[in-house]
This record gives sequence, structure tokens and C-alpha cells, in this order.
Amino acid sequence: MRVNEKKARWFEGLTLAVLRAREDPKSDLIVLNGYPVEYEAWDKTLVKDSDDVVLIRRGEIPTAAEMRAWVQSRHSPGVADVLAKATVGIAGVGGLGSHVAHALARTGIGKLVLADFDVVEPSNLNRQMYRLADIGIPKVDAIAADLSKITPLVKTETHEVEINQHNITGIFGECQIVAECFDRPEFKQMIVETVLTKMPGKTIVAASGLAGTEDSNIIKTRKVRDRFFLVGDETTAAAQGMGLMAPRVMVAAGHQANAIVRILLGEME
Amino acid sequence: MPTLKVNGTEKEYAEDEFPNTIANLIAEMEMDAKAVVAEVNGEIVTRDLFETWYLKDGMEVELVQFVGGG
Repeated sequence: MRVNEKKARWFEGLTLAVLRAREDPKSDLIVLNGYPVEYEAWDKTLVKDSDDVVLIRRGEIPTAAEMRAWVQSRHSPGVADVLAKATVGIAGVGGLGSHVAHALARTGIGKLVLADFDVVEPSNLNRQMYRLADIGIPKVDAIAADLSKITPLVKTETHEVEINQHNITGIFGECQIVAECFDRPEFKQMIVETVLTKMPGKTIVAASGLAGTEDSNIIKTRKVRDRFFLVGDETTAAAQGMGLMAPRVMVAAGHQANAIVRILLGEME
Repeated sequence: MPTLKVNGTEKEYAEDEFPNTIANLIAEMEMDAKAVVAEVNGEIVTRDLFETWYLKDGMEVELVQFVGGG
């Protein structure tokens, strides 16, 4: 049997109440194979050797070490260690970047370098991972604060600055991979070109074509060349009558985040 | 007749219609030069060189055109 994702000693006749007393007497919620068990039933519920028990202290925030154990338990062996050592840059934390940041933070990635010059505006909330209370706050600060509420595992470095071809190499110098998450096509062009020509050994995962309500399934991830991956349908530009909406932007951001994880794990040669 | 392989497709040109520069090829493809990343024979050619980088018969060109949205 497993308790909080770790192997635990089992014997015939073991009840949830006894198990709780042994493993964590301070816990006040017991989840057995995915279902909460009511307090009144703890005494009479027998545990099987194949059971999965989670003991929770309500309202208590896990430590970084505990959180790492939870994340590790949900990943394939070895994956968490690789991700924990990785540093990934996110160029622009708008619709794409805010979702890429959240997805990567939840995987247990070691460090995110976040760069954006913008503050959160009401019009961003239709697709970007911000809240009403964030309006007027620099996006990089809002997202770093939000990530710290999700996991203690990810370190963030924020750059509230407009990215140009001269500061890219400095800002993202320690990143293995950079996610291109800009809005305007000429900025996308600029960072892709700069990473490929001035940052040897670094990989760029860019996005192009994710506006509107077209089919999700025409959004693809393709390897353009060594160190350059491109996500999107490569056609649907944001324009009048072709707005950017959360669902499709999130599909593309999910593609980017997954490509980054796969590259880090060596699954995308 | 001179040829170029552009984004995987073989293109054949009359002598006087061969796009001599990357900028000419981008114009012929009706792409927007400021949103294009270009690779010629496996090497990235930066945007500041599009006007002056000469294409020759048989070269392989990859052009990635970005569209807006993020």
C-alpha cells in the first residue's frame, strides 16, 4: 500500500484510523483511492494492501521537499529530476506566455526567466492567466506572484523590459530553451533569428497562427530546423474579426509547453 | 532553367525571372519580409541581409512567415 505516494507497511486488519494514528495523527482528511472518507467511517474502514491513501492536513501548505515528492510521484521516474535542473525563458507573458509559465511551473521546472514590458489590462483577461486584482500590475510581477502560490519549486527571474535584439542574449543567457510568446510578428521574427544566430546551443520554441475559433487540431508542433520548433496553424493571424480567445491560445501554449518538456527529456530530436 | 527549392517545393524559373535576392523571393511569395525567418542551404540569413544576399541556381531556401497573435 501507499500513503502520500510513498510505500507504507500494511497488515491484515489495518483500519484507516490506525493508519492515520501511525502515519500522521495531525491529518484531518483521508482520501482513499481518490475518494474522501468521512470521519465516522475511519474506524471501520479496512485498508487493502493495494490501496492508495492520502493523509491531508487541511489548510497546511506543503514544504518544497514534500511538494517535490508529490510532483515526482505523478511523473515517470527520472522526469522530475531533469525538469528540476532546467531553466527556461519565456519571452512575453501575455496569452501564450502566461499559460506556458503555469504549465511549466506545475511540471516542477527549476527556473523560469520571465520577460515582458507590459502591465495587465482589462482586455487581457479574455485569454491571459491573470485576475481582476492584477490589473495595472506589471505582468511579470503578477505571474511570478501567482506561480509562488501554486508551487514552491519553481524559481522565477523577472525582467520588466521591452525585448530587443541587443538584450535577448543577456536576459536569456542561462536558459536552455526560450519560448517565443510575443504577439506581433516582427517581434517573433526578431527573437527567433537572434536565438538561432547569436545563441549557440539554445533552442527556440515559437508560435504562429492561433487566433480565432478555427479547429484545434490544425495547430501543430513542427521542427523547422535544428534548435527551432514552431507551434500553430501558421495561418490564422490576429486581426479585426479574428480575435484571440482563451481556448485556442491555450491549445497553442500547451503545445509549446509540451514541446519544451519533450526537448528537455530528449524526446524531440 | 535555373531552379530553387523553396519550402520543400522545386521551382523553375525563366532566366530573366529568377529572384536574385531573398527580398525578391519573399516579394514573389507575397510574404511580409519583416516577419520572415530565412534559411538558405541550411544557414540562417538574417533580415538585414535579405536585400543583398544573392540566390543562385539550385539553392534550397526555407522561409518561415510569422503571423500575429499571442
